[in-house]
Amino acid sequence: MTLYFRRIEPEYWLDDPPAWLDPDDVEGRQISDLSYRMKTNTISVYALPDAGASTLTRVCAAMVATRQRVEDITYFVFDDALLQRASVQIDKTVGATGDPAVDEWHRDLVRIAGTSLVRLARELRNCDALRTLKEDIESELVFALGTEKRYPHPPQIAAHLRKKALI
Amino acid sequence: MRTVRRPYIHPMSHYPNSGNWGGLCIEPADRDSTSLVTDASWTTIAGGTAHPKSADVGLLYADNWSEHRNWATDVLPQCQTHRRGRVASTWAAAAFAVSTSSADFSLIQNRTDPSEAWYGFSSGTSCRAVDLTESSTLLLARFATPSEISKELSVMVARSQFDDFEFGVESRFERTFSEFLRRYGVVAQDASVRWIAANADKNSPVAVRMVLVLGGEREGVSSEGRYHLLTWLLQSSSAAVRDAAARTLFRVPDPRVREALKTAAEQESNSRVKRFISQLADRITADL
Repeated sequence: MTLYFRRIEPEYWLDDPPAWLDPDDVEGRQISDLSYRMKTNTISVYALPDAGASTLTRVCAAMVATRQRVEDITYFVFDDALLQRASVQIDKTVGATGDPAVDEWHRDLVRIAGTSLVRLARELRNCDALRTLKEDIESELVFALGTEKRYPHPPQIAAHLRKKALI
Repeated sequence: MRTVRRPYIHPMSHYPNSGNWGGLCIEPADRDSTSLVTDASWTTIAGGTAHPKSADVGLLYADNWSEHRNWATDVLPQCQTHRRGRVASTWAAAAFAVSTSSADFSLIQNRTDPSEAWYGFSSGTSCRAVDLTESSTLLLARFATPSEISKELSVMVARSQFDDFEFGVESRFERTFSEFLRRYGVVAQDASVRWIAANADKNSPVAVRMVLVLGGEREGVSSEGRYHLLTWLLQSSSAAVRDAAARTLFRVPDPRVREALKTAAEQESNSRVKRFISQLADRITADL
């Protein structure tokens, strides 16, 4: 069984379903979160070697490394059974975070159509959401940049960490 | 024990070289009284102007009111050296706006009871010594928000629909909202909290970003102020807003935060948010 990681915007998934929503349906904004800036009918996920805290933090740190600031990251962790229920296929594609290991874990959910998007959102809606706090992500980044020299090129976030005198 | 409560626009304009100064000032009912010492409450907090390019904000305070009888020689110089700074006084404070324009306001907030604040708008280019409670030329509202500021907030929210709220990137809305809070101080905060209370269920993405900015570290806002604001927002009808309030509160350096989060977790009805808030409370416990 493989576990997958998908980052979400918590405000689209945390509120209780609105009264007008059919129980079998999903909110439009949840679809929007999954398909944010979708250009190639794919959804980016990470196949996790394990669901331990260090692996999750490493993925989060890699995602933040390409950004301007560190934030808490909220995400779903789900298994292949969920993808099967949603009838979604998966392809291995290399990620672009700058962390070679995390990039290796990158996958694309492919051939995403309207119905598969709704099915996927419906399945994910019932998943447990998890969160890694930005303090842990910062520590991981400091470790990755300072001790491990994990990123071959200085990530964008390095400027933020320098500003906070963390590196 | 409070014997203050006489807010008025202080007559600064006639002081030499002071420009068009004016401000809202809380004074003891009896100037010879030392009651402000025991009251120990009035502080900060904001002065503002609708025209930041042509005006500036000054903060003025007196550490010991009884020693500062002469505003011109004792107090005014301090005012000019505390622009855009936080008032350190515990006994008496006043906020002043200096301007060449109209529609400036000043605001004073009660530190021990943050829900109590007084502010005033001056309608002229220079201020007169008028008791605000009697003046027809001034707009004074207690616990009310000037319509101009609410309107500006509404426009900002309406424009946010064109914003990308992108992960790890400061949005245009967050930038303009931070500037809005900086410019109008507690009055803007009041307007924002009202907006969140009324609209969080309809527009939680914007409400969440407001909470993160409102509760974050801001110039002139104390940990105490952030604590009160965020614990209040933990009562929001929107689970996403409660979640945002909790993780912002988690970062407020206040010893009461852990207990507040534990209580919030116990009372939380949304299972996901309950787990997230518990995670924060547990984290503080582990770090102790």
